[in-house]
Amino acid sequence: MAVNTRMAELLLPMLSLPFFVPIVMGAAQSSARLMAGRPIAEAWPWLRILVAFDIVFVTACTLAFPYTLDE
Amino acid sequence: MTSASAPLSVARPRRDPLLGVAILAVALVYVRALAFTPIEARQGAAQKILYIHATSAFIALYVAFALMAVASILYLWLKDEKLDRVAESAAEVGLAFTTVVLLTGPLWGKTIWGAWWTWDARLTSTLFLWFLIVAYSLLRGAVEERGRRARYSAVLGILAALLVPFIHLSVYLFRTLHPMPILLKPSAPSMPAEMQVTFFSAFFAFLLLFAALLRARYRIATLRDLVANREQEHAA
Repeated sequence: MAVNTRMAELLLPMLSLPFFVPIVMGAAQSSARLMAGRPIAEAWPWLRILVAFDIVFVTACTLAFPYTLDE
Repeated sequence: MTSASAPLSVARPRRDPLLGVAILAVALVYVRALAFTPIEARQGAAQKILYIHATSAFIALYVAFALMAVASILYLWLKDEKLDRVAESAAEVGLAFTTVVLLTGPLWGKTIWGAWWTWDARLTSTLFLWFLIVAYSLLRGAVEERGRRARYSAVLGILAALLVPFIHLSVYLFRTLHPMPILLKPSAPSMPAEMQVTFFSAFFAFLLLFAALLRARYRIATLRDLVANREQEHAA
């Protein structure tokens, strides 16, 4: 989507960075707990966020993608 | 534009009564918050910034960006340019409110935490949300063709709105300096009644201000599109 615009090279990182925040936070928090040998129950809330994020965004992006293409 | 072009038929009102009422309401709320609301025991007078900070945050998140998302979804469905303009206006006014949140937050934080800014989860996520909306506005400026601009921004608007609950959830799980919600929580609100009255009147005053600004911004968008149409007709 960002490729088709002026300022494409500036827009892409600006657009994508906020979307990575929950993934990075969730992944870092859950893997930190697992690598420290903590029980999986402690990482579970973060893993749940990751799973929910996946489901929501895979669905939303699949639905929204056709609108980003030109006929 | 040549002199042959007909004048734009949209009346430009000199005064905006809604905006006037909203500004008056905000002024009254300031008076009430400053003079007629008890001072918080531990934080002192600094706590009064809550009436701007938390209300703006609430309006930006749950009114402005929600409206932007709903208008975006409806735009993709109905393809009505009006909806695109609503989304555009809501995003921009929401950006103004988020800016207020990010400005009043450090002022409050400096007196209570002793630091203007910490890379705390809540603060960082608000900053990211601000970046996201700035990017949304940049995207609008970067696409020339109107139909394509509307579609792209609608897609981004929807995805951005879906992102907000995730940011909120991550913040909730993170240990943070920022206080947890005081009013919007499952148990009873932990705030004295007098402060609650001020808080809710502040909320409605700012909501009125939001509506007035939204309407003004929408009018600008309509005029801009009208001018663009005229110029196109002229060129053709």
